[in-house]
Amino acid sequence: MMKIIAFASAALLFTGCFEKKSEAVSHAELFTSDFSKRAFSHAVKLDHAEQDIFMLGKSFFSKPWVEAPSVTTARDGLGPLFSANSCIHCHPHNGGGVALNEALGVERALVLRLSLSHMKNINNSLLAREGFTPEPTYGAQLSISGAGTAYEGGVEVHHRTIKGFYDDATPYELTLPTYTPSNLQYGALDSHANIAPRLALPLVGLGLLERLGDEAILANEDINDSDRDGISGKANRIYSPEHNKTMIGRFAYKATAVSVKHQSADAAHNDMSLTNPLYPSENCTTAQKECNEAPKGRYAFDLPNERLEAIAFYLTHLKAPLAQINPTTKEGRDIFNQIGCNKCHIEEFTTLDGVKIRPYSDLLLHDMGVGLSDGHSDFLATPNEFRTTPLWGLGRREVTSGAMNLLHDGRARTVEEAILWHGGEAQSAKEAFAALPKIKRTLLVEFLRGL
Amino acid sequence: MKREILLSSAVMAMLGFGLSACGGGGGSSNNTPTGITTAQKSAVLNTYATIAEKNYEDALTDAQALKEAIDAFVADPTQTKMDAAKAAWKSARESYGTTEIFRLSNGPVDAESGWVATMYGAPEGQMNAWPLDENMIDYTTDATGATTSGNIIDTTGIFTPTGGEDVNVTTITKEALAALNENGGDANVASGYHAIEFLLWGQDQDYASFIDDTVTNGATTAGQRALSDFTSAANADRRKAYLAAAAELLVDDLTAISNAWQSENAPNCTTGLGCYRGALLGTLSGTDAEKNIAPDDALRDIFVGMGVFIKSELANERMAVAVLTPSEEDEHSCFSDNTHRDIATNYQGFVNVLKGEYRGTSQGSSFYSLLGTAQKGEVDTLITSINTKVEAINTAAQSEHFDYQIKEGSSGRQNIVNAKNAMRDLGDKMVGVASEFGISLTTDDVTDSEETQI
Repeated sequence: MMKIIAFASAALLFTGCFEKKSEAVSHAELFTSDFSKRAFSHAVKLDHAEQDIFMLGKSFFSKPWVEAPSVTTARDGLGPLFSANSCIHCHPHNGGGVALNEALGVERALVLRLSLSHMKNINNSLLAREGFTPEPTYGAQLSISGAGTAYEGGVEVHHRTIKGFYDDATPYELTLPTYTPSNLQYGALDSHANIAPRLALPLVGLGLLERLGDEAILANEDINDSDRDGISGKANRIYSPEHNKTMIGRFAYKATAVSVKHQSADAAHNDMSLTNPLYPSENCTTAQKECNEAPKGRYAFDLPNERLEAIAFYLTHLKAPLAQINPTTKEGRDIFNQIGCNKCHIEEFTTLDGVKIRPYSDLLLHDMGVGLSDGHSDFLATPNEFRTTPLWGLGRREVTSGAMNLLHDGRARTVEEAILWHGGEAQSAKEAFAALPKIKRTLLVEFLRGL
Repeated sequence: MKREILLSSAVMAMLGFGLSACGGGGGSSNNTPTGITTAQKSAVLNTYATIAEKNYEDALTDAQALKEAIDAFVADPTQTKMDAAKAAWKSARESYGTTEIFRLSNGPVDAESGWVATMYGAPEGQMNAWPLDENMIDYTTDATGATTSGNIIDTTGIFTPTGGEDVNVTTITKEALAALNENGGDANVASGYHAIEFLLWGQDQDYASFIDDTVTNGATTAGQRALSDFTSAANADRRKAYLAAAAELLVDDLTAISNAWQSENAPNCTTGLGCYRGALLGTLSGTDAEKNIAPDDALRDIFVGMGVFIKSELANERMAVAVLTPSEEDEHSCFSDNTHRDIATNYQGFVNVLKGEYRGTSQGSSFYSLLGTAQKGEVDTLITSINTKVEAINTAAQSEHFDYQIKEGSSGRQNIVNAKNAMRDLGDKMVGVASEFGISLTTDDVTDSEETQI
């Protein structure tokens, strides 16, 4: 039965090619069914001039940066304090990061964000621009490497095992990591410092998400849960250095970036200390004398606007993953909807230019419970709140990154573990999952692994 | 049976794998096999193997000549012998350049997995990795005019490549260079043609920004390493040892790959001699027979490799990135300013394999010869167009090396842009070529989505 259908639609396509661009063909130009490690690396259809920008962006995304001054003037300006020397280091194959290496050491892709609680030492102008108050000595992020100056510190991790049971008495084990700074080189952290671990997110479908209208995101907002379904949903309103105004955030764990360019510039600044038009200053605090006095890159910005935009162009012109559709995944999808996952992991949106996309996210902030809280507030996002992670590409994450590390600190090693960590607004959906018979849990996971 | 194959490729198409063939491939997307027989497939594969055999033999001979010239120079470092070594390097690049089309096809030079990788060890990166961080090999002059140190040449004892593992370099041997190569990262290149090139020519100090940088050797001047680096300068002996070891390793690697393709003796899958050739042509017998590669699989690998090489490697990595940046750091042979020859020979290698020719002589029936009229016409148009552009790059190189042709304002710049665009199109054309052999590819297949590691 399947085969006959397949043959008929394929035949239609092959004959239809020359007549006109059918909808299905343009669909294939935006999406890919590849499940290999290259799943997140395919370009959408581009003309020669666009391919050139794409390549330039890919080059600056992939190529390691070096410290200034160097022979390679096109790519110097790294640091002096940094977490990694290239974007791709933490986003292997454009996928998400992996938190631990084989020796259980913490990888560069897991960074520690540092802040002071909103309630203390408030600097309102800083808060308005940055969304939080950075730790006074170390800044917003702990840099584990330094060039020509002392690095800030290392990262240690301790794990605690949490055991539980599904309703059918099947046992499960979760692992709770606690990340702490070690070997701090600039003295102790402020006593009110909050440490929020963050694992590099996969760079999936970003161009299509960027092409969603704010209205489409705001349509699902229900800040006071007026429909009393237990799900509130709040858009983050953040300062955009690109547009110099407050806008709706849609990227990163707490929806703290308006655009891919914004997030790329933020990462260039925080992760590699590359000065750029959106973050023109070096990533040093006033307390870090050597950092401030270290040799600078030779030009106004380490990452000038043209190259920053090329990186954003690259990331927004990658094909998005197409879900596997078969009888198993269809059943799994029904279960996904029945237990209410789809209330936040909203399946379908239409972009401003009319493309139907299936990101499985509302891009809104939700309270995920104290179990997932990272203690970090960021603009309107409270410590317990996270943006619904888009699920497209979930099934490719293991092959692109080499391991499945889910949630903001990579604590979940499987799809099941990630679900079991859900709390807060997702508590009832999580409980419904735990109450499912094993076969239905398996079907649900199969569906998610097919995304 | 045929119907089954057709059906399964149709299913693939529906799932999204095949759809972009319509958008990107252009030309005839009629997926019906054109009646190319098994015998015809064997014949074209045989031609392909013959070209590989002859070309690698020539590349090996020229690498041996390079080694002899280097050994002579090392024994008696005079300007004449240094110039002879440089000439031998350029000559060796000519025959090696056309072999690069055999890359990216799961062949002995760079197969990443399976028995081919185990048997031949994928020495491509050891022979031809670029761009290299010359700062790791020997002193350089940095952007502020300071001389760098802390490299393999000036280190005695243990050397640690950036991000890599320790290697003892008390004596610079081919084993040490092999251990250092790509140790800690792709840019940590310690061996191969480009390491030798750097040692013979030295830096060609035309910096990345042609607008802001004033340090330059000029439009027709390559690197200017002084003879004294090999005579009176500090570490002269280590520099000579490095050159000799790098040349020896290159000859070793090319010997192994040349052996993989040889046809004079019966295949021996213990020593590797002729084993890959036998597998590709399906002639291995006994317990080795399981290594035989089905003709359609072999053709698929070759067509994908040809497409990826001309599009992603040559057009994109070696030309587009250099011209777009624009950055001398991203030209292929940046020390010797021989990049125009790399482009010409790499492209010639593609044409050789497509048309079944070597050094202008037909080697048997070719992929091209079995194409339909329409497909041939489209290929011809692209080849004619690229021929002109590649010639223009080479003609212009007489008054302006490639590193100056990529500069904003150079009259050669647009030609390079046009050349790489046409090469991309030729890479995509492999989708159409493959389809005439009943092999379904998409433009994604002939694009290395992770090509840029510059």
